[in-house]
Amino acid sequence: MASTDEELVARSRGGDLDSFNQLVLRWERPIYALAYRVIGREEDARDVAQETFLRAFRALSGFKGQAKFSSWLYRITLNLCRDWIRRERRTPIAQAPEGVDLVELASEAEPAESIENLVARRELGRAVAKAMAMLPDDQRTAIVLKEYHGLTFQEIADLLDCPLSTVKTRLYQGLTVLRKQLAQAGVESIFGGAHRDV
Amino acid sequence: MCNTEQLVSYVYEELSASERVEFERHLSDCAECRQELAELRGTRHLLASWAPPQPEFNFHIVRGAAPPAAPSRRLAFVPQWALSAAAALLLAAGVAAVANLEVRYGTDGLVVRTGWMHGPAAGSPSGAPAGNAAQATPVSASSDQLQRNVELLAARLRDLEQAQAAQLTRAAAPARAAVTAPELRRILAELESRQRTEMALQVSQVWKDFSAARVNDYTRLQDVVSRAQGVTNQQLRQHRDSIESLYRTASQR
Repeated sequence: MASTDEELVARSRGGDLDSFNQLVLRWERPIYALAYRVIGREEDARDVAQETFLRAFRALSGFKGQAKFSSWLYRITLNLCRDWIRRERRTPIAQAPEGVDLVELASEAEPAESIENLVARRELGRAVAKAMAMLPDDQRTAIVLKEYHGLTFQEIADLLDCPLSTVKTRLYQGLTVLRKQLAQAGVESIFGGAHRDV
Repeated sequence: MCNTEQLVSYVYEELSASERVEFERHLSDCAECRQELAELRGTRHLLASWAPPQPEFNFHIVRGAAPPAAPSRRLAFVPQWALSAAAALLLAAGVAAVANLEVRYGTDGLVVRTGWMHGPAAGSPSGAPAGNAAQATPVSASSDQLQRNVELLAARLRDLEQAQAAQLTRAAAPARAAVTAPELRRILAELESRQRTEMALQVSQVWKDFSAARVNDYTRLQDVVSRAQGVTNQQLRQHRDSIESLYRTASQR
């Protein structure tokens, strides 16, 4: 049976490197995905992910378990992302492949999904990425944490050091802006308005 | 919109059971909230299409934290292009005007000197002491010396390449330190910067030596020409005196 994060953290603090590397293996993709969606650059997101784990390793003795290990990692990641945005002085740029590789797409396709649908989904993802990149940092971060990482409002509020109501407001405003951006990009036509159903 | 916070909480299913019932009762009476709810859900549906890339990760923490040792020899990390450029510079200098070449490699790095009238350098294959600057060297002997020195330089470059290859092999061994990609980039950038600085200093030193040798040689050449000219003038005066003497003698007769 797999060990919990808390068990692995406890063993890591006792000097067990293998335990910490299990934590790395468990969390590297979510952490990378968070960094990628916040800063929008593949290589930099990878660097941020690696730096997150290195900092976590170095600061492990100071982690007393007052928060979930994943929340602690998220906080480190978001701080690094904020530093990156401040340092680079630029807004995130969502990278999207220039061309569409049909072979790669075919390998990803669900059995029932046609290539046409997959291409449409890729195009849709690209449009979403661009719209997300245009959001203010705080709104984008709130949406990423909620939509893609499933954090609760309270967890997001703790991570971002802001009131619960602010988190909800950021989410609502962000989703509203996104909807308008996507509508301007003609995304609604892909779904034919089907998503409007309650 | 009636209450956006409640609406968002309802969309993300974070209302308590009682709040949920109450809000659904409100929804049944409020068309605007129903419309807004549909829009939010539609937007969330679109967000699901954005997937990040799936890179391969090989990051893990390893024990130990020793940074890579700095090279002990100044040219240990000089890149191939720099060695080639230095060799090309030396050969060009030799072909251009240099009849003598001094190559020395010691603790202070690679030193190259050129000049017309320098004797063999210390540490040269001939083992002769440092040359007497005032003594002219025959052109044929200088060409041989140049050839030997170029061969010596080529051998030195081969040694450096081997040393560099050995260094790279050692660097390719399993790392003992926990190094992240940004740190590695920074270290590499520092190394590259240091190499450039050292190479620039060395090339600058070569150029300064070359220039100084040229000035020195030019001065000496002028001396030789002046001396030759002085001899020639003296001979001309003697010839003129002889002719005048002969002319006077002939006139007296």
